[in-house]
Amino acid sequence: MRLIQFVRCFRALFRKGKLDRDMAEEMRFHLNQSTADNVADGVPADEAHYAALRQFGNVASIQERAREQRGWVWLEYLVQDIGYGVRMLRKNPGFTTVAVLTLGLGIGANTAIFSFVNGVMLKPLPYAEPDRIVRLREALPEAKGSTLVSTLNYLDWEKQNTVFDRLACTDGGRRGSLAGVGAPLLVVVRNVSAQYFDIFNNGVALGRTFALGDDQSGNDQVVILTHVLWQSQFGADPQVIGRSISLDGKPYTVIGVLPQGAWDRKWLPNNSPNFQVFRPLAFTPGEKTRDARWLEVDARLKPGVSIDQAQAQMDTISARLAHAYPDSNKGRGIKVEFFADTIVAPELRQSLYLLLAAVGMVLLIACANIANLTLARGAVREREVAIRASLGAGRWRLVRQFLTESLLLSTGGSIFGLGVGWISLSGLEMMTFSRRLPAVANITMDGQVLLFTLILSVLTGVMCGLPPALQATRPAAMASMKQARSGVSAGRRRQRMRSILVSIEVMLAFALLTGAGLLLRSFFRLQKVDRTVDDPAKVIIAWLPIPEKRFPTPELFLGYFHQIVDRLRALPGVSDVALRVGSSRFFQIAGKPPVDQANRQPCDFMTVTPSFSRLLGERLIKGRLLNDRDVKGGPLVTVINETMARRYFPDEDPIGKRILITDIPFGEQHLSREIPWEVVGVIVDERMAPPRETADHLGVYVTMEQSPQLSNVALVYIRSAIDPSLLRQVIPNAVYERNPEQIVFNIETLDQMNASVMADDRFHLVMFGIFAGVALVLAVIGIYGVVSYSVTQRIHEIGIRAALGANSGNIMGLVLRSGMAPVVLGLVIGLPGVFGLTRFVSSLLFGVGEHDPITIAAVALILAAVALIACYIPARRAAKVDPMVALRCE
Amino acid sequence: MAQKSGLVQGTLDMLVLRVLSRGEFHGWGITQKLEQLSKNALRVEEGSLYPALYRMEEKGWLKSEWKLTEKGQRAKFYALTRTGRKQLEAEKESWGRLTGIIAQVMESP
Repeated sequence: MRLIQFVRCFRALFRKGKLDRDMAEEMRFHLNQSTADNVADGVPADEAHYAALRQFGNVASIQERAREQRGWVWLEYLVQDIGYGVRMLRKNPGFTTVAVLTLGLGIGANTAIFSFVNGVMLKPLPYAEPDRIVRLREALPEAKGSTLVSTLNYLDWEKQNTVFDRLACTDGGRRGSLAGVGAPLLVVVRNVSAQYFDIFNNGVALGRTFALGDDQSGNDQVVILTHVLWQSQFGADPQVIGRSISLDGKPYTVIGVLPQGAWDRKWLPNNSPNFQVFRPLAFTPGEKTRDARWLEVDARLKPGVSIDQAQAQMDTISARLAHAYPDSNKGRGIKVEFFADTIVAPELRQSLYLLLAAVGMVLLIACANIANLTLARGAVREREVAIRASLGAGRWRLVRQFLTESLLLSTGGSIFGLGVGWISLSGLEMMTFSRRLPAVANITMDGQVLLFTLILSVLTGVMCGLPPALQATRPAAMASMKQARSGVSAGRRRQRMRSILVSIEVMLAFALLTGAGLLLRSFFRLQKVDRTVDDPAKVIIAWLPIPEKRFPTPELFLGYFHQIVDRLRALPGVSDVALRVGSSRFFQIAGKPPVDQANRQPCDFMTVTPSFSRLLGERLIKGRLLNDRDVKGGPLVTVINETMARRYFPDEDPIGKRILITDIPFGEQHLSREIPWEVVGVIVDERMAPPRETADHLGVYVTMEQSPQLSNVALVYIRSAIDPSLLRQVIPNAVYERNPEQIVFNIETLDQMNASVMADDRFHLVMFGIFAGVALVLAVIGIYGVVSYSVTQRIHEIGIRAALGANSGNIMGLVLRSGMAPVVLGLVIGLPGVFGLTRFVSSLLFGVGEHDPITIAAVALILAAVALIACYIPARRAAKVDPMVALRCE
Repeated sequence: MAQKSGLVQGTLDMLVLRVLSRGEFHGWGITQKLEQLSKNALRVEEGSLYPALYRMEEKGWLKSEWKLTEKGQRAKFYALTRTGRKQLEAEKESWGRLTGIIAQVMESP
């Protein structure tokens, strides 16, 4: 039955002409019969025909309704509407071009931003069943955040849980040097437990992943390479399996290469390729502690186990551990999160949503503008509508026709927009957040993005087309063929709708401009922040990874770095060199109520050379700086920063007080005894990077001599007496002379470092600036269009007013008033909206309130001023109207 | 143009089916037959009749054919199909039930 119907309808589509002729003949026959009937009743012949017609009603209209009974008639209409729409759009090439370009830019920007949102947050991770992968962290008491996990806690979780298929852990990765491939190559070396790759379970390209037993001491001299490292450094040699490589001077055997893709993406700053080497993690006896928290723990849920069930069981386990080991675990819980949720920084998530909202608003403004242009054309088309209506077209049919036209426009816009999106995508990825993009983000224009664009295209078409369609097909317009010239009342109504659209545009532009204004002010604030460093353009920082376990004793370690410092200091053009190795240590204040070991705060424990403060020119507030006499064997002294002093010695003089810092013995991982450090000085907070990053750091500085410590990396500070760019090459060479395997990377001046730290702020500002600028231009075009059109329409009225004695000032005022009314209305209505929306940018701001009245007022004024100019041009035209010409142009 | 007596909503299809159950008719014939059967009390509007005919044909209740009338004019004749006949039975039955119920309500004390 269905099939027959389908065939008939399809045939009907192509035999439309014949069917229509049949229908006409059928109705003609009916009329003839009716006429004959009337004649038989004695009505004169011509009278009889008219009587029959009267009785029958509107033939065209009935035919139309009868036609609509056919199935698939909509397809027939669609073909008709598209053909008609294309003709109409071709007849107005100017309008069509402007509309397609405007919508294309709007849709393109949305497509590009959505590609990021999709790639970063919506796409499933490229691992097997990614929704079963979770990350576990130790939770601090009172929801104060979470930390990494200690070895013994990890081992207990693994033993006691029944909710995970398996648990695995990894250290954060450290930088190491891969030798034997020309210059030492900087790689990231990560130690992972044997089952780590089974959690992610996405296979290998070559060889195998780690197996149980690889992580036993003695068997652990094996490594797995990332695909990108294998390709670029080993020439994609399939014989690499079994080959021996040298990492930080020790030999390892390659057993596997990871698959291409997921493990390869950018990971390090500056977009350097992700050269990663994985080693099995074998715990040394010294690492088996409960209080050194250094492990990232990931797990795979058992099939059918929900994350809530896992969380519930881990709560029980953590309570048990806290009871058994109060020294290290009191008050600590366990936090179970989906892995996917942990890899996107909250700031990135927010910034993406914000940008998506902003481009969405730009597109809305573009839609309002197109709707406005279409409305203006609606006046011309009113007659067309009336004719079609009287020929039997229903309202819905006419609305559909209008919508088809705007959908054609938006489809054209989308095609153009896909091109725009494609181009802006690569630009965006380069200039931007790539620093913050998670390793697995895969930004492409895939099927989902295309679907998004398609939906957007339809929505856009409806939004631009529906208001004018409804306006043009009002019953009044459809009924009145006599309205040869668009009457006053109809014109008014249309004008009102256009004014509403202008108000909406102004509201949206107001919000976007305010966002951009706030970001701009915040950016200037950030740049103006008083840096504590003298002449930061002359200070070079270089990163030196410290090879793990290379220095058996602190003396060897200090000796090695002293040699490097001396060598650098001897370079021509270098005026001073300093060194800093930082880490985090728990502390409490001597003479205050003792704090539970599990709940102690960490401070930034920085071991420096005494030259450090001198080199940076840090200002002393109180006491003295560290100096060359603060050596091993002397009294242990520390200089603290302002924040530390304010927070822990609020109403007292910190000088002479002692801070108890839990020591970590040289080369070990576990916490040891508390060591008292006497405070000898207070310096201002370091502000080398933008303040947001360092705002809350509890800084504790000691000399390296008094507390040598191993960390991932040592920072070398060099003050240059000459152009710092001249030293860039010389510095690594001087280091290689001492040790050809020592890596030196990230050589940049403090100024350059600040610029890259502020890259995100600059990016937000640029993006918002562009969006707000486009919004402003579109809104102004909209305002100009409305006012200019209303002047043309009211030319007659203006002529009469001029003839009756209104001077040009009166007329100008009249036009300006009516033009500015919707603008002012938009600003007034928009204000609460702006107050509500700026909440979402507040986290991106520095030193500017989200409701900063100066910014909001300035934006409103600018918007009003620009709108006034847009009104002024047509107003001047109105003022110059010659009454005689205006009255004659009837 | 106005109906001599308002058709109850939704009864047009049933009436047309009923007329056609007596044989083939063209559109004009259906209006005439309906008047005759209702003793001039019912008049169907052409504006409703033709869309209804097309709709019912689309649903497969009617089939149509161009034929010559007695007077030798070409006209489109409609006839019931088998489904159309079933439909008529169904509508008749539900109509009977409905009028019964209404009568019951109206005549209740």
